[in-house]
This record gives sequence, structure tokens and C-alpha cells, in this order.
Amino acid sequence: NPFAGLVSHLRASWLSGKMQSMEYRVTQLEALEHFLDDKKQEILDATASDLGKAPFETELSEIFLCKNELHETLNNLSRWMKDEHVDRTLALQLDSAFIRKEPYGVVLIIAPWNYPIQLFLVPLIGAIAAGNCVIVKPSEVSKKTERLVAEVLPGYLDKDCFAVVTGGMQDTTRLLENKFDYIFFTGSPPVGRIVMTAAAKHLTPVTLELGGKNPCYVSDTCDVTNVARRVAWGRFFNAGQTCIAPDYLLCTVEMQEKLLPALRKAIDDFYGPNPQESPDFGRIVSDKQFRRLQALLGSGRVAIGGQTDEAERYIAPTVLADVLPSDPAMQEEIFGPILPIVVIANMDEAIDFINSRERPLTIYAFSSNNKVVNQVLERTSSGGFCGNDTLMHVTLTSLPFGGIGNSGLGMYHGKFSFDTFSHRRGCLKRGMGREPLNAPRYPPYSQQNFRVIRATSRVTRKNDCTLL
Amino acid sequence: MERTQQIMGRARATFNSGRSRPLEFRIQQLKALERMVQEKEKEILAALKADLNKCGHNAYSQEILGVLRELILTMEKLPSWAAPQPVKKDLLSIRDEAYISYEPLGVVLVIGAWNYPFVLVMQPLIGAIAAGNAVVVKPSEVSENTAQLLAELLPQYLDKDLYPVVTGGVPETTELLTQRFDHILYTGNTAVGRIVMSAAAKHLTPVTLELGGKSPCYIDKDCDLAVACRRITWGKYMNCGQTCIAPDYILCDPSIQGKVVENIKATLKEFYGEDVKSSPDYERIVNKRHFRRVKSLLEGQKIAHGGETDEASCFIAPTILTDVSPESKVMEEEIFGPVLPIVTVQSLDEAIEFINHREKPLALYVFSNNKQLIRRVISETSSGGMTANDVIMHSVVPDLPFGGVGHSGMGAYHGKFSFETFSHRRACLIKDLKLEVVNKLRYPPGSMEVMHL
Repeated sequence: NPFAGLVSHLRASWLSGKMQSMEYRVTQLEALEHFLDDKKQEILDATASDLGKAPFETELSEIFLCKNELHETLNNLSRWMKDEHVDRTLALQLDSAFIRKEPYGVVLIIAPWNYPIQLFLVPLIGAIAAGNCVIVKPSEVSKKTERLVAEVLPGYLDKDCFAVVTGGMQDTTRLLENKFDYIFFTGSPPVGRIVMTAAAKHLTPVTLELGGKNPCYVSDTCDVTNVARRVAWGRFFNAGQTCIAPDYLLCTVEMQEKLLPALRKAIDDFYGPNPQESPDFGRIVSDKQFRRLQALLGSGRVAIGGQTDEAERYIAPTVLADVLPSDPAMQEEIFGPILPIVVIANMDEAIDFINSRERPLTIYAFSSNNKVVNQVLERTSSGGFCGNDTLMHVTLTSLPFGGIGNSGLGMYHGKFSFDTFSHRRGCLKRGMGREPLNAPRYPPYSQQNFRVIRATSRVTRKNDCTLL
Repeated sequence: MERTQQIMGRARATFNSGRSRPLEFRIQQLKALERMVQEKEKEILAALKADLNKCGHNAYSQEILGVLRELILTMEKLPSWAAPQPVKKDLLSIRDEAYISYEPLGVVLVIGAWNYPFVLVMQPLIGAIAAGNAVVVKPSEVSENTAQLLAELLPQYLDKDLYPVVTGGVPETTELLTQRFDHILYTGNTAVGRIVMSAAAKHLTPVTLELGGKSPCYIDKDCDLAVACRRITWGKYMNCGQTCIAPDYILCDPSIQGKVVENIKATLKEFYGEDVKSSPDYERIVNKRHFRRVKSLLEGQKIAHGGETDEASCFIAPTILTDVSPESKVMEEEIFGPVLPIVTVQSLDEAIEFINHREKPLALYVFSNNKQLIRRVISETSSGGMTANDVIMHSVVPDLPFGGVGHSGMGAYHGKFSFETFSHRRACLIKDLKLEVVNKLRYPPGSMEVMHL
């Protein structure tokens, strides 16, 4: 077991208690901010190399969002760490009952390749804030970023408590043989199953941020121009390689006709007449993913885009019209710059369509009529929901980010990260005095004692009248 | 098995129809449960007596009282728990609606345990119903009278399609675990906990595991030994030691070991009289298998008190072992019986190290007059929950989460925590389709100046 030594070293550091103090956690968190500031150019270069990411996209999704999380955490850490005192029953009035937040121990964070900084850094912020030691396993698919993180990040953090492990599937499998106290995984559902199965052997709790096909319903009453822009932005950001991207559109055939020219215009506004030349449009991360996406282009008919360039792993911002539920593009999460449109007759049909499939990470609904948006919201289930826009619900640190069913379990962002990586320990401190008050609970039992117990520890309905 | 498929199919179809979602429906079901507990109190007490020889007082205070309290609390608070929770917005979302919506998960599975067979099914069931789910209930077959009773009563009072009861042993449970649930709450032992989580992993089903372990009890030299020992005796020997949060073993300085034994002995006499076997307030081990298991833990040990057993009636006397070696069998597994080993330690440091070298327990106890010492124990150890200067009691505070950590479990429930466990917290952001001008900033062609706004 090549990683056993590392894991036990980190566990020993955690047991030593050095991570307990707020000051310690703050220094580590501030070091993360230094990493983002000092190495900004290197991050821009690495993500450009791995994914053809435009500097603007990297700044926004990999640096800015992380800094928001850092600041939110630093601003609130002392409050989050405090013991939470709770109400007590009459019998325990003179005692102290509170919830203490404790770290789990050694945490493993497994990150994917599509937002290679954000998707390890934001969980890492939560894990550190909660007082855990962490092993970070960045994705080997985003090679340059993996090397950057492995070579540079350890220099910013306490080497006794934090480590970066690199490698492929085999190394991850060996890593998962070790006992961790929490595992945070972002990736695909099949691998999520593997991670959870490995975690089960050690009874390790997990958070799984997975994926699925995020439906985007566009009603007939809407501002088509705005819808097209917001949907195009969400779909083609990072060349479509976003777990919360709108995966496919559901609309009537009339709306499809109106949307196509609007989408064409939005794409032209964003990326110019030849997106391959735009500095703002990304590339597919690997040959394997490129070929997978290419195969989806045969679904429906190509209404916009469709061009590809294998040498550059470029796939044009593409819209497929009249796609059938049985088409290849509707069988798997697309995770690329291809937007299929599936025609339905009305909102009810759209809702039934959504409900007959696995619950996705996100559901989108566009309508000028708020009732329509709320109907879709109330009659479906998903990790999160955004009405009249895409992607934005995950930028609010006060909203939890997580899936349900096949799209994942658990959640994070903001305080939810801190809570995810904390064990909430129920604590009761009693005094040794007043022992006679305990007498009713001891044997030998009598009816009278029992009445006293009932009276002093019951929770009464507000409109009940209790005479002791 | 076909029957399981049918039950699952019906529960899921009914859930999908939306029947369990309206608050009025959920409260109506909870009221029906309240009626059931009140109307069938005699039957419930009889089942508990048959399964565990629990006397009426114990059965009522340990199982029924808790359930009634949970029902009242839940019905009272449900409207506020279930209400959408608005969240803090930023500049960009100032005109939007941003909130967390509490939604049911779907069809959940509650697997009960045999030691508190009524409350350990009812309390999770209450939370699952409150959160709007369909619930498949699987009581433990070991406490067969309570299992039978639940199978008869629940369909009489609750919606038959949404809340089916499945009885049976290992084969039935294994079959059930192949089905796809949206959450599983399991109470039981660590080994089976692993099996449940592995089965859940195939469907990516979230789990709450209420397991066990050896809950340590540290007694400081500076404490009122008489009081401490009375409280410990109560918590250790209730339900014949078959309590997941019973103080499993004692850690103390060798100089007070003798006094601890004397005090516990005196308390035992007070509680159960000279002849424990004839006290109506002392329970029995649940079955022969567990009887033999607990009895075997006594081999080679120094018995300071008790030790008498009677297989025919599954009776094991309240027993104290002294100078126990950390390597002995009684210190390896959770005892779950009326046997209390005392392990001596030379200092608080040694006690803390002893505790930390073992799996994280479900509960941890410390008795001391020294507040500083108590604070140290809390901050240098980890456990599901803990009580200082008493035992068991943290589990009855309605607003404290009840759950384990590490090998003692994951997740928590009771009160509001039950509701949250069985709910999905869905992030909702509703924006306006107008006001596109604000969005222009984020669209390509992006400029670096925009970033620094």
C-alpha cells in the first residue's frame, strides 16, 4: 500500500491537535489566497493549455469564485466554529446542552478535470475551515494543472497536514484502499459508485458531486433574445464541459423556430463568425472526449455549427434541432458544446419528460410567466434549480450546491462546505449536584415517580394547558 | 422476491402521485401515529415485555414517551421546518428570489434494531413521514413480537401504500437492499452497517448509519463517586446493558477502582434488591445467541461483583470486572450486556490516548468536578455525542443531533435533524427575464477590465 505512510502521517498530525485553533486554520486559508494571487499567471497558462480556457473564464470560474469562498469562510469562521447552544427540557434546565463542530480527521478530495482548480480548492477551503487534514487528488486528465498543483501547492500549506497525490485510475484505486475519515468526490456517477463502495469498507462518509442531463425548458411566453443569450452562455462556457450546463432544451416546435436564429445571433455576438478563431471559446480536454462528442453530432439535424477540428480538439458551438429521445445525444450527459433541442407539445409534456429520467444536478426553466417557472420547479426534483438563467445559482455562497439521486449526495459551498466536513457532536454537561432530581428515573419503579418524569420532560403542544 | 417488488412499486407510484407531499396529509398521518400509540399502549408494552422482559415503567419511559414527544414536537414545528428558507443575496441577485426548498427524497427505508424495537423504528418513521416521503419499514426480526405488532398496527393507522412494513430475517433484508431507495436509515452493528452502505452504493443511495462501539466512561479522582456511580449504574444496566449508548467500560485511576466497585454494588442493591433475578425491573438478554456471546466475555476475568447466569431465562446478573486487560476479549467488541469492565489508567493523558487509539465511539462519558478537565476531554477526543457527569441523557435533548462518527456511524437524526436527514435541500434561484443589461458583463468577448469590477 504505497499511500499508507502518507495517510498515517497526516492522521498523526491531526491527532496532535495542531489544526484545532482558528488561527492555524486561518493561516492555511490565507495561504490558499496567496497561492491564487502569486500563481495567477501559471493557473491561466495551465488551464489554457489543458482546456483552451479563455483567461476571462479562468479568472471568473477558477479564481474569482474561489476567492469569494475564501473570503466568505474567513469572515465567518469564528462564528461557524462556535458551539451552538440548544434548548433544554425542564429537567435539564440547569445544564449546558450544545452542538460542537469537530473535524473528521483525514479527508480525501478527488477532483475532476473540467474546473481543475475550483473543484479541488473550494472543497479544500471547507475541509481546512473545519479543521481536517487533507489529501488532494487532482485529475490526471488536466495534465498541466495537475503538475502545477502537485509542484506548487504543497509549498503554501503545512506539509504535515496537507498533501497532493497524482496519478491515474490505478493510483486512485490504491489510494481508496486506505481509511479516510471523509471522502469528497466530484466526477461521473459510475465512478461515484466505485468511490462509495470503497468508502463503505471503512464506513467513511462521502459527498458525491456527480452529473446527469440538465434539462432546460423554454416556454412559449418569453423574451427569445434574452433566453438565447443566457442559454448559449451557460452551454458554451468552458466549451460545454460544465456539470451544471444546460444539457438539452425542451420547447415547442414554434419556439424552436424562434430560438434558432436567436441562438445563432448570440453565438455570433459571443464568438464571432468563426468561433475557432475566438480567444474566448475553449477546447475539448482530450482526444477520447473529442471522439465521444463527435459521435453525438449525428443526432437530429445540425442547425448551427457542427464543425470540428481534431488537431485542435475543437468542436464548434453546435445546436441540434428535432432531436429524438432515442438519439445518441440524449443517452448520456453531453459535457461538450452541443445543445440538442427536443420538441414537446407543452409544459406538462416537458415535466413528464423530465420526471421519467434520472434526477439531474440542475433544472432550468425560462418563462416571462412566473407561474410557469414555479410549476416546473414544484413538479420536478433536482439538485438545484434556476429560473430564467443558467449557472448563476452556484455563484451564491448562501445556496447549497449538490445533487440528488444519480446526480449526487451531499452538498457544499459557503457554510455548507464547513458543515459537510464537520461532525456535529451532541454534548450535554451536567452538574453532580441536585441528585434528588434524578431519583424518579431510578428503579425500583413506582407510578408516582413515573408521573414526575412525564411532567418534567414532556414537550407540550403550545395550546395545551399543563397543571403540574 | 415478487412481493418486495410489488411493495416498492406501489410505494413509489404513490409517492410520485404526490399524495405524501401536502403538509396537511403528513400531519394527519402523524396524528394517526399518535392515536395508535395512545390506543394501543397495552399491546405495545406487552410486545416489549415478551421480547426483552421490559417492565411497563421501563418500556413506557424508554420507548413510548420518546415517541410521543417526537410526534408532538414534529407536528408543532413541521410548518416552519418545511417552509422555504430565503438566503442572503449578493449585488447581482438583489432583485431575484433565492431560497432553499425542503423537498422529500422519495422512497426511504428504515431498518430497526431489536434493543429498543419500538422507538428505533418509530422515531425515524416520524421524521421520514414529516419530510414527505414514502417509507418502507423493516423492524428487526430478533424482537419478533414488536415486529409482528408493527406489521399489524401500522397499516391500520397509516396510508397502506406509502408506509408498508416488511418483516423477515436476513434473506428478506438482503432482498430489500437490492432495491433502489432514496435514503436508508439503518440502526444496528458496524459489520452490517458496511453491508448496508455497500448495497446503497450500487444505487448511489445516501445512508444514515446508527451503529455502535465501546462508549468509554472516564471517572476522575475529583468527583462525587456516590453520585457518579449511581448514574453510571442506571445507564449501564438499563435494558440489561443492551443500549447502544450505555457506558461500555470504565477508565479510572487504580486508587479509586475499589471505591467505584463498592458504590456500584451499593446502587445495584438499591435498584434491584438483594435478589436481582426476582426484581421486576431488571430485563433479560434478548436471545440465547447473545446470552452465550456476553457470557463468554467473562472468561478469565476478575469478577468483582455478579457473574451469575442462567441460560434458560437468558439471565445475566449485573457484573463488574476489575483490572481488565485492554487486550482481553471483553475490551475488543461492544459488550451490549450487563458486564462492566474497569480498566485502570495512571493519568488523564493515558485515558485520552487510550480512547483515541480506538475506534470513535457513539457516546463518551466523563465524570469530574473539574470543569477544565471536562473541557480537555471534550476537545481532545471525538465521539458521536457525549454527556459530562451523567450518562445517556444527551440523547434525550430534543434539539441535539443523535448519531455516530467513524465506526459508530454517519449522519444524525432526532427532531429537526430527522426532518433534514430525510429531506433534499434544493437550491432555488429565480431571476427576471428582463434586465439583460446586467448580464452583458459576463458574456464574451470578455474583457479583463470587466473582471476587476
